[in-house]
Amino acid sequence: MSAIIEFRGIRKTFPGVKALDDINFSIEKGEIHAIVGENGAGKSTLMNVLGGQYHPDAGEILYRGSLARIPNEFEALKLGISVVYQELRLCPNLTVTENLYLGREREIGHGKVKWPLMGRRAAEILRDLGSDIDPAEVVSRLSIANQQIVEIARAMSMDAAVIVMDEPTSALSLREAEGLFRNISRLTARGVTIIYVSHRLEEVFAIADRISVLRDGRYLGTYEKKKIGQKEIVALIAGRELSQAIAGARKAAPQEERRTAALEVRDLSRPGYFSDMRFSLYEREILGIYGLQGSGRTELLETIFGLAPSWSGTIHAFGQPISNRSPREAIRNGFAMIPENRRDAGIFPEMDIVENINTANPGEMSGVLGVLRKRFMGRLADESIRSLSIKTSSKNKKLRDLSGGNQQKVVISKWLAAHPRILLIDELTRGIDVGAKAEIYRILKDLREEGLSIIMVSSELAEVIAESDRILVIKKGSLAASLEGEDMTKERVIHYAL
Amino acid sequence: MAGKVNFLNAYKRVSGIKEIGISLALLGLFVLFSILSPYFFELENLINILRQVSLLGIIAMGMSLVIVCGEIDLSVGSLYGASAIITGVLLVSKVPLWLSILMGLGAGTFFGLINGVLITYVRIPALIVTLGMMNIARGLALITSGGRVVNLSPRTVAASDLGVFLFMGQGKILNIPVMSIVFIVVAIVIYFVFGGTILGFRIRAVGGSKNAARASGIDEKTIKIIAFSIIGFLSGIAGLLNISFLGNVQGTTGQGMELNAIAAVIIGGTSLSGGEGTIIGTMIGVLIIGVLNNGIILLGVSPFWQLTIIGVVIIVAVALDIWTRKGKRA
Repeated sequence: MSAIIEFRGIRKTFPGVKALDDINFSIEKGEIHAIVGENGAGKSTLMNVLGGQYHPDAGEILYRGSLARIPNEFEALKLGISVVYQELRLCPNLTVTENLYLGREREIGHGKVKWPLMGRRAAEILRDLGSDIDPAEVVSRLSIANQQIVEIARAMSMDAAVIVMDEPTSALSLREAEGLFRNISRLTARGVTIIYVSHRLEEVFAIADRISVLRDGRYLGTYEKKKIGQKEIVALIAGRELSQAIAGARKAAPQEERRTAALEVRDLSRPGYFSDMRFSLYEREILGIYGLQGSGRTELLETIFGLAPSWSGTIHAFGQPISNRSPREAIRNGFAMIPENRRDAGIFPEMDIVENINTANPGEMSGVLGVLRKRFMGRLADESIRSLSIKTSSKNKKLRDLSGGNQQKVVISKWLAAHPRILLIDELTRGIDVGAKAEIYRILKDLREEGLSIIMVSSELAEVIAESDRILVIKKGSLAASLEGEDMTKERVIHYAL
Repeated sequence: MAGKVNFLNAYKRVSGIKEIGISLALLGLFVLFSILSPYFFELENLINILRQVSLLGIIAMGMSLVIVCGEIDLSVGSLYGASAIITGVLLVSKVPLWLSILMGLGAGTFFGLINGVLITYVRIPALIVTLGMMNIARGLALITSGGRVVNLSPRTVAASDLGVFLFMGQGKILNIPVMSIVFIVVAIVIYFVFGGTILGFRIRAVGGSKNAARASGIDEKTIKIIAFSIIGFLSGIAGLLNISFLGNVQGTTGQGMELNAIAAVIIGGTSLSGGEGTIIGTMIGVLIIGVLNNGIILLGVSPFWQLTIIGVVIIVAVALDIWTRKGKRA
């Protein structure tokens, strides 16, 4: 076999993060090549580089032995490289045939748009994939699995030689996943090369020929599936030396004083997302929750904070039964939540720091007839800027003009102003540079010392291990493990999460 | 070009006035018309302009609130007409003055409330709800009036009531028309509500980020319903002042008012996507429309040009806004 794709010294840096650092390896023609690694290891970034979404800062890609320039998606497709992204890129309002030939409507008919011909071709391709999807069906009416097949069919219709699948099974049921694997073997039988990016080691070991491991943006090696075990791969993904170092440096958690429960969750279920969640959050504790994308980690927090339309089970806060039907009620019950998507749900980008900090404390910031107490608001902002060292030239600066780290500090300040007792955090440091991260972790510890009980959902393994007193691991909507003390190692967390 | 943008931004920083661009435009119009027409810069004409913009201005104040919270209201012209018709018909039916006024204002507020409820709880887009309400209220106005002009005269309305009622639209205090005083009072109240109360604060928050507002415990639905009720109420006030000023009203009164109100708000720098805008800006937007209309007539230009020119002003105002913003980001 010969290499169809070769990565040579690929580097890519985002503000504050080295996403890819000197990646060198090659993909053989006709193989199923799996790429594994934890969240943020660089898998998706590398595939985005290959698909023309990102431009590497350094390095080159060889395609069929010669230097390939891939400035955009379309060039990648023309070369024969097709990426099926996690978020499918189909026009939901168009039919299967229309999606298949989008942008190439005239090619088949030699300059004329011939839909009937395209429809017949589409049907042929779908039949080859063993699918009975009607090419005239509108895409939004198809299941996710079938939409994925349409994406693969599109790649086939363009005579793709390499198909990249980025977490293809994350939205599929078990049966649908089996269908996908059958299609993958059909494709390889025709000589198509498959690059399979996944967290799920069972799948990887079931279908891949070779496995490459990335960690923290670096390439660790490529292994024949037959010559390596799952355990060894887990160790590689986790990085044994590092996690042991962290575990060794950990101080014993303050056992005796954190045994009063702040929050008790029993049999909490939300159909389609998670079921039978049962755990306690103790006072003055940082409880880390780790899970892969789609494991239900965000939905769990949303449910506790009153953002879910329906759920079952019981939640007790400080011994009292509560059922938050809206964030308003949750805030009244002493909860606060720092959301995952800061830009969309955390900040008011067009409002200034003073206003942002005062959005969750209506009782204090306004007086008779709802008249704003501007002096109070300003003072609160001054205090927050000082105590959390928010870097800004003025408290009247609009939030959209602050860096991610400072925006997050404003969000934290806003919730502190509402005097919460339980703080729910989803991806505390997403999109925040390294320096600001350290500061925010320090703030987190201070808040715990001041008496807050904190749940911190994170997809960053290093973060969740270093910052939590205890870790819950969630896998596919149910609780996989609760880890404490010595058990909080990268291998164990990953072992339960995968 | 870049130099100009920098100059503008520097000026903005120094003055702290966001509406600097449009205030300069308004000033420019004043100077232009004062030079071109000897009558323009006379006290009588200026008061005249103020009176001419009062009704539009009252509605535009409400429109500011609605647009800043990320919605739109196309029904205000019809609510304006319907409120006036209801009060007029009640007055000629010898219903007591206070009750007639209350019913007119109540009708405007009620229709606004319905708009708000349909938009928030039934989740129909505001464009559709208020387009529907525009037709519903207009139809009801025509039905109520039977398609005829409702005349308020000593023959149809009790003399004492008539005097009091007509004073609202026709009277003057210290040479200033009563309806302009109403406008100014409304503007001051809305200015204060917008910038100095929790209601205004939340209107801006909801318009700025619906999700963040919800996650901060702000009841977005109530806020929007209040905003639509306020604009309904203000449309009612404007409608009543109109019938009082003219002494009569018909079912078609107020057609097109909604678009003028939206135009004034947009010229005033409020973003149609919500979250951004100022009451001072809307005030200036209203005055720009008023000065243009007045000046064009004084110059003897065909009034048909008014529409064309105002159309150009809307587009230029928004283009300038986008242009200066780009400069700032760069």
